[in-house]
Amino acid sequence: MEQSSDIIIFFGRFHPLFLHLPIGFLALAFLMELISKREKFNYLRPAVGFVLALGAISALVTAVLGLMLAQAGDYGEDLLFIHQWAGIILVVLAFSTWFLYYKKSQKETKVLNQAYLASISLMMLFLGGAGHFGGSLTHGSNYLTQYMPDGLKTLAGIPIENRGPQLIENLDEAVVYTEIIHPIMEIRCNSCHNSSKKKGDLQMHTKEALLKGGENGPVFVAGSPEESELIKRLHLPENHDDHMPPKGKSQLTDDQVLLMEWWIENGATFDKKVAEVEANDEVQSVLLTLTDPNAHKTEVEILLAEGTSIPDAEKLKAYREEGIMIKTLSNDENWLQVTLDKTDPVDEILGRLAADFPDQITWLDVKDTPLSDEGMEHIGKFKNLTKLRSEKTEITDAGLDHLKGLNYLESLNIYGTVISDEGLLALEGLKNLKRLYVWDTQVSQNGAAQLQEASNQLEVNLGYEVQVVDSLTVKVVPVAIRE
Amino acid sequence: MNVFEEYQMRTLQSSTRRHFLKKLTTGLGGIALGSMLGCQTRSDAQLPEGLEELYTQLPHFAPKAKRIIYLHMAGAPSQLELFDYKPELKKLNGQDCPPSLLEGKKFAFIQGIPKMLGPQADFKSRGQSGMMVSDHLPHFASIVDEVTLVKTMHTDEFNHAPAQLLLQTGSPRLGRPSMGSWVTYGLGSENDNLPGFMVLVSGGKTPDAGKSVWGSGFLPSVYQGVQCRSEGDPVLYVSNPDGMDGQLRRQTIDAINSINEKEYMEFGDPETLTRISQYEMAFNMQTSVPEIMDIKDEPEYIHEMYGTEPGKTSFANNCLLARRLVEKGVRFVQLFDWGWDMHGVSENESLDVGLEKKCRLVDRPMTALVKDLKQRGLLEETLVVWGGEFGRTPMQENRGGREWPFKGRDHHTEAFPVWMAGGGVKGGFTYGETDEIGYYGIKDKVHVHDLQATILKLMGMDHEKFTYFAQGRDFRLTDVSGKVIEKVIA
Amino acid sequence: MSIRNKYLVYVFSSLTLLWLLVVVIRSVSIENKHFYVPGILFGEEVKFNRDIRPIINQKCIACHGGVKKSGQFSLLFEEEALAVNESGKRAIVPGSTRQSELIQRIKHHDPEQRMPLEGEPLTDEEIRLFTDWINQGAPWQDHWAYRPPQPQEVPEFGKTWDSNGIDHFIYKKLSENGIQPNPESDRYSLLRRVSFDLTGLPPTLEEAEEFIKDTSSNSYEKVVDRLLDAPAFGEQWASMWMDLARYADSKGYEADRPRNIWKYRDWLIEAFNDNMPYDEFVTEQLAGDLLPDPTEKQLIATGFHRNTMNNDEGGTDNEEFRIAALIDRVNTTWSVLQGTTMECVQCHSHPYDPIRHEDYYRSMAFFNQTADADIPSESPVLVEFKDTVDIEKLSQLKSWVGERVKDPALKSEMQDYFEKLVRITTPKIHPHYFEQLDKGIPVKGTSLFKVTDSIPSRTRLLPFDGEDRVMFKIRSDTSVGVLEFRLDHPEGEKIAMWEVKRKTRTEYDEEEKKDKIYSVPEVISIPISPQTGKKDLYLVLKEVGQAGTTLNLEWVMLHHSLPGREDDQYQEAEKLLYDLFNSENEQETTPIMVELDENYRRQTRVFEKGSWMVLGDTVAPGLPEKWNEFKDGYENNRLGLSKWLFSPDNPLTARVAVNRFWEQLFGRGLVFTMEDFGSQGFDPSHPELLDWLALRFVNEQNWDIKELLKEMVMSSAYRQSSHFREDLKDLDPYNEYLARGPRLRLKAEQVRDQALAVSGLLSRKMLGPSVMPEQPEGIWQVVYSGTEWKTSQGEDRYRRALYTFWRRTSPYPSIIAFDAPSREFCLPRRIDTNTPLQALVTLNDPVYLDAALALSRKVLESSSKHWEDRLSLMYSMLMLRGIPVDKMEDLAILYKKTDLYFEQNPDAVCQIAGEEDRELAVYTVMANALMNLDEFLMKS
Repeated sequence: MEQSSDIIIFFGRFHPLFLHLPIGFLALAFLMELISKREKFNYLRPAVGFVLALGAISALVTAVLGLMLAQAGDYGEDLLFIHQWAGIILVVLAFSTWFLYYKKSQKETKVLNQAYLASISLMMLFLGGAGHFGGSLTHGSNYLTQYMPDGLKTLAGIPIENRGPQLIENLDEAVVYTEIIHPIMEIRCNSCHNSSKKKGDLQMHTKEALLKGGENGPVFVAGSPEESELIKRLHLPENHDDHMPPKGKSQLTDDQVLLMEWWIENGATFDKKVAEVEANDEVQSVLLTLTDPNAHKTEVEILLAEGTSIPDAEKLKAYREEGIMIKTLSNDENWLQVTLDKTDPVDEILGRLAADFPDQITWLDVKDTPLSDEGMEHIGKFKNLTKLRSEKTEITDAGLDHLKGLNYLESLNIYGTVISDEGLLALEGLKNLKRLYVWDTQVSQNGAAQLQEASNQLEVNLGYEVQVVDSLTVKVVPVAIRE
Repeated sequence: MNVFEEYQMRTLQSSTRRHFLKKLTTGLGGIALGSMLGCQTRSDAQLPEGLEELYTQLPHFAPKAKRIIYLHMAGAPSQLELFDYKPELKKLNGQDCPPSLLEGKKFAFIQGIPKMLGPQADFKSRGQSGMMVSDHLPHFASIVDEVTLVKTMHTDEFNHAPAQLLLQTGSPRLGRPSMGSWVTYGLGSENDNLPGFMVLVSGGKTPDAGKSVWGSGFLPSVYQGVQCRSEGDPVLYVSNPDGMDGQLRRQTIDAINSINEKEYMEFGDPETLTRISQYEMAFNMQTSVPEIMDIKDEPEYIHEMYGTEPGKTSFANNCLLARRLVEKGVRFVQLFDWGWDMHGVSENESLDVGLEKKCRLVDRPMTALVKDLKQRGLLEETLVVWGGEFGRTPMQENRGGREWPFKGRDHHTEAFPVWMAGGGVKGGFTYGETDEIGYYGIKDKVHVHDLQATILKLMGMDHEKFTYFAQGRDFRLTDVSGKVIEKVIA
Repeated sequence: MSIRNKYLVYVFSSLTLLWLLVVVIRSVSIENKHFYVPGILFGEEVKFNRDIRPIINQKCIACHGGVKKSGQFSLLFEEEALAVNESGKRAIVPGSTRQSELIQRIKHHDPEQRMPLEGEPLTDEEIRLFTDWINQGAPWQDHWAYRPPQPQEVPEFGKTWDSNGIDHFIYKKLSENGIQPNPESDRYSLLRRVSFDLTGLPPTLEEAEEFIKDTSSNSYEKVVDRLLDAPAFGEQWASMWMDLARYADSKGYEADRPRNIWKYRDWLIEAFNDNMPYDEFVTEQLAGDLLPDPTEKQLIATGFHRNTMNNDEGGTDNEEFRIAALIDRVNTTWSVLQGTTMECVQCHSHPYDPIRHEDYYRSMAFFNQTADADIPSESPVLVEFKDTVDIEKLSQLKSWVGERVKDPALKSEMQDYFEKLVRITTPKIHPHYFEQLDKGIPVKGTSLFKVTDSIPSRTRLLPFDGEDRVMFKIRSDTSVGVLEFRLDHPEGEKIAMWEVKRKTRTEYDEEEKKDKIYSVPEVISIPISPQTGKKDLYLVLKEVGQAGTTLNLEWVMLHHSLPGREDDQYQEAEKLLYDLFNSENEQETTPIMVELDENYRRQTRVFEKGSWMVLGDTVAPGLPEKWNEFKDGYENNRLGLSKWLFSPDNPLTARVAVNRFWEQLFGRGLVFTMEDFGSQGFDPSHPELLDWLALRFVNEQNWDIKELLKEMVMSSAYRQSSHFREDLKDLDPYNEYLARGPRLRLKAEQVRDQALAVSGLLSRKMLGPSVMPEQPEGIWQVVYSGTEWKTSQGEDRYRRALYTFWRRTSPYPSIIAFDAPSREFCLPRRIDTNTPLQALVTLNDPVYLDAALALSRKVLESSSKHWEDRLSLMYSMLMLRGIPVDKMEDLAILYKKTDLYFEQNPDAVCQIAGEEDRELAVYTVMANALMNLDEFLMKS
């Protein structure tokens, strides 16, 4: 069975090739028949039979090949059905036409003539049909309209299919419904509430449909989200039967829900622009993300989101076999985290890592190791390093100089080292540095304070002074500089 | 060690995760898994390929937290005296409880019509965030800006044992793996001398639900929490018999392993090799565990900070131990502190006396823990969670339908607080609102399963993808529900 | 043209036409065309179970099964699969792929339509299978496990490697895969293996030597018979069954208080030793109480389902936890006896197997009529009086009844009634069936209910027919007042009254240094004016004056009065009754199952989505239809259930049983997932063997367990050596084909028993209450429970592990470390792990050091004097074979080092050996090492 069906499909594949012959022949025969009615082209008539014959036979072969191809079975059954039978009938018609022509050429009668004409025109009809459905089969049912300009489509009453939400260039000018709300519905609601599929008798793909509502009446009450079915259902617990979108389908983000509420809150208009609708800060900040997805992300977040090049698998393996803990931050990222151990020759390993993965290593944990300033020099080469744990090591102020270049460094732990205020100066340039741990070092309050001046977001932790209270009133002050 | 190479070769058998899990259930895999996963060694090279496979599944996201310290206040502290400031309730104090609150409700002890009971503590706004915190927790007041406070936790169970199980295992009935087991099953430990999941108990009693709250359920028993004990052996049987010192133990284990190698050469049973590795680890534990459990070597001011006294069983000691354990890379440290069940039936079980006593024992060390982690830079990758298994009623308990000499509240499932610090949660942030008497959550309710989903997310795991096949179906920590609370994640 | 060409044309065209025909037939869609068209046209036969079901279970059933029925379409049952679904179309139209929506959808190009939604599309091969299957008429097959076992031909073969039928099947599979089995194991290993498997204990050195010497052809069989008859046999298999019965000596949950049910454990041991046939064995456990006048033992047997947990936590709803226990009984019954996972059916129809949601509650209905109700007293319990006085009184009572009842038929019945009344005392009305009317608001009782002058209590619809006395257990804090029993209303008809009397006990209070008087409960029985039908009963307290009396009641029940009221000694007779109920002498109580009488029956209703608070339709006892029919002859109770289980056409009972015994011996069931024979479980590795064994167990062996076990251990398959083989590593890593003997770690209990046995410490005392061997301090830290671990004295410290007191919330640590379950729920299969904690147990647990010490004493007392002889002797005593040279070398090194160590640390000697005996210390360390060897912890 397997074998033969393969060979069948092999032949079948010639169907698309072959089918152009019958189309050509039969069309030609029809054409000749038509124009041969004029005296001038009379001479064509005798040839029609021949052409018809060619057409009929090629049609038969094409049909057989077609049926073979159908065995591959990767076609939508309904279309296939129509196409197949259109084809088969076509074959029959072709032969009958040929046969009638043959009879007629022997002895012409009125009946024969009419039968012949009927048959040939029928034949042409089916030729068209079979052809069209064949096309639909291979190129999809919308292959005619697919690239029709939107204008034409609207004329032809063909819905414009969604192209997902896009970034908005000019926020103020953007029409709230068309550019913000509709795209959300497009990706989250319309798969079930569209022209063809109207779950709960609700369609959401057009303004009208939306206003019309579903089987339980209108979906929203302009001006009051809390009374709007749409919003209520978004807020139901996910495994509640009425929750929308249904459990399992991809859900709206909190931001998207917020926008929907905001839209309804402000009258659920279809024409107002963003500028014309007032929005509180929360909404504002969400709206911002529509123009720039990274609006609220830090440089570091953006960097990590962008990702990095794939680390060399062989080398990774080698390190692991050596017993070094090196792995990706997560299953689908290339960023690497490395942890070294007391017993490792840290500086030397770092040297090699700096050569092999200068871009990928972003978390480095060398706490409590014999790390020296030499090692720090290598660390300076991990240009995408965001987190460095180098507490309780042998590094000195000089070592910190090497970190100058680490623009993405966000968290630096150097507690339990001999670092002093001098060393901190090297860090002033690190604009992304958020957390610095210098407890149990030479660093002074002033030194820390000074560095903190340099960057508003930096939090320097000098450790805490112990303040025990047992009455229920005493105030407790941490030594953290923020106060 | 050539045997270990041999071992790697052997274990390279199983190729896919499915296959690997099948192996697991045959026991053989369970062992390989046991040695490797329960305590993942630093070198992935030693992992059987099946595990490599598992690790390529996990984590699903870059983890915000690498370790967890869960401080469970067994018995359920009263939110109304600690974190949920309700001036309205003060006014209602002493009035009969409106029947509307009782309809269709089930209580453990309240019978007939109870009276409302106003807050038994004063509150102040603390920190930059101005979080309202009870005067019972003066130390905690100093770290509110590190903390996310969830006010609207709710649960399905109003008795201790089932509620604790629901919180720790995702199901109110016994037999499911605990959160810690799930996490170590997924991520292993970072230290090959210590188990990945350790448990510390204070308050004189194990939690009501017993050891099942750190059991491994249908996961292999290597994932169950290892209880560290404060008297006797820190871990059962970890110390050598009197008269045998470490060196002699080393020699016996060398002999044992060497003979087992020969046994392996004869039978070729991979389990023999695992046993060898297990005896190695056992020996390591014999030195590392007592070492880490001995807090004497901590500097004086650390003891001051936590209020620890070496050699005693106390929540304070356990907090300090917890820090030491996470410092060494233990993945999940579970603390239970028993004795928060303030029904008002005796002095120590009362809001007016007992609660304050408990707070004094807990406030200072738990604050110290957060600060100490912070100053070591550990807090940003260690999630600290604090809470009980449910909340308490705004009504005064009237057990047996009568008045009691002390003030107490009954069990309440609708609203209770949990606070989290570090591990990628926001600081100085309050999530959720309760009604004016702290009875129901009215905004952003958080079910126990939501909390679990969020914790797994912070650890880098998708609670819906992280499953284990047993008893004919895939199980999850969050059972069939649970939604990550994105808003609390920094 | 030439003739040849002509023919060629004919041939060619006719072939083409024929082909055309075939193709057209295949593609035209006529429903059921498979009826008139030969199947071959639609490709090779597709087998549902082999080809289709796996695809369904993997890719469809999650949405179209028991849990969800998306689009009202489910593939669980044939009728559902063929039915018209939501869309009005039929997913499967036999014979017509084109009308079959299923085919359309799996092929669909639009991802919104294509099935599986949001999943990987099916592969072409899978689609082809579905297409051919439907073309062939979509023939449905039930899952193999739901069809009764089929008679099997024992495969022929003349090999020498065949001791019995089993081997034929095993060898067939092996040769099919071109594998040769291992040779027979060496006799030492074989003996050790079979001894552990049958008795859980190692053979003694003497037994080993005897076996080696015995060269007779049936030497092995002799050993097997000896082991099967050994008393230890019962202990071994009882401890297996105790996991299934979730046997424990405590109640579980919060306080986890002790429970007295060891008699059930003893029943198990004796049942196995007496070789009770499996069907009786199970029937007595499920329904012993329902057998015609059940014996005491048969009542004890019902303890099987009284091992469910009991929640004493203050304020818990007894009904909630009665139901929890009930659910556990259903799940356990199905899991243990039918290898079926019922858990999921609690909330919805089974996701994969043909079990409907309501089926769960229909099988629950079988168990829902027992008198137990999650109350602290665990009632009903069977009381056994220990004190001769009580025993005497009981027989006096019986003879009184005997003499007063003339009718001989009635005589024994009445005697029976009163013995039951005294020893079992059902049906009690428990506090949570009472409502205390506090200011008119009804408040359920918990472990007690109270009555005061302001708070009457009532219980609903009590059946009075035929009862003329009311009995109650009461505690009063004064002796002022009258307790009245009234009907239907606090002021309704008064049917009985009792002058409140306070019973007290005086105790000397250590702290206050004076006698203290406590009120204590008392059982009272008073006559009532006879009533008919069901009426509400109100308990009202009157005439208390200023005393403010509070009555606390534990239970109330109605019963018959003793016969012979006219007799003038009637008072004494009633006194007997009173004394027996209020006796404070020692007595043994064991929880048992007791069926409620007609009048007290409960309704069983479906729990919507599995929540016991949301009740659905009422259901009658019944079973899933895919199984064998529940015949009219069967009683509608647990006894009927048991008959159904053991009816010859039940597809699973025998299979599950033989599979379980097989797993115990071979370490891996023929069906690997012993707990799940359903379509999500593994398929049997040897289906024919499974059926053959099952049918043989039923028909030829008549459920004779020992015979079954003997057949298995006699097989060559079992007797093979357990050496791993290179060639099997990839071919058969899990030893499914059994080309080698099992090599398994000893079970938790065996690990301990072995250590004690080889060192001669093990006590062979059998049966009796559980014991408390040495255990580290502070293991028991359970809330609200004074119970503490009191280390047993004398030989009880060294009993077999199955006698160890089992507390659910903190089981014996060294046992739990070796993968024993906590016994909170039934565990069909232990999963072996290998952890450092286990190593620590055998290295450092005092018990194992005691064993080492005792062992080295034995060695030193022996005749061998040279250290090498002694070491090899010690080795042999443990491993039952001579020590290989290379291992001896390792020992020698350790020996020298140890000796040196004690030479350098003289004071360590006494610490290890307990006396100043360096040799003893050295050999103790050696023994300790040997007892940690892989070969000692494993059975090869």
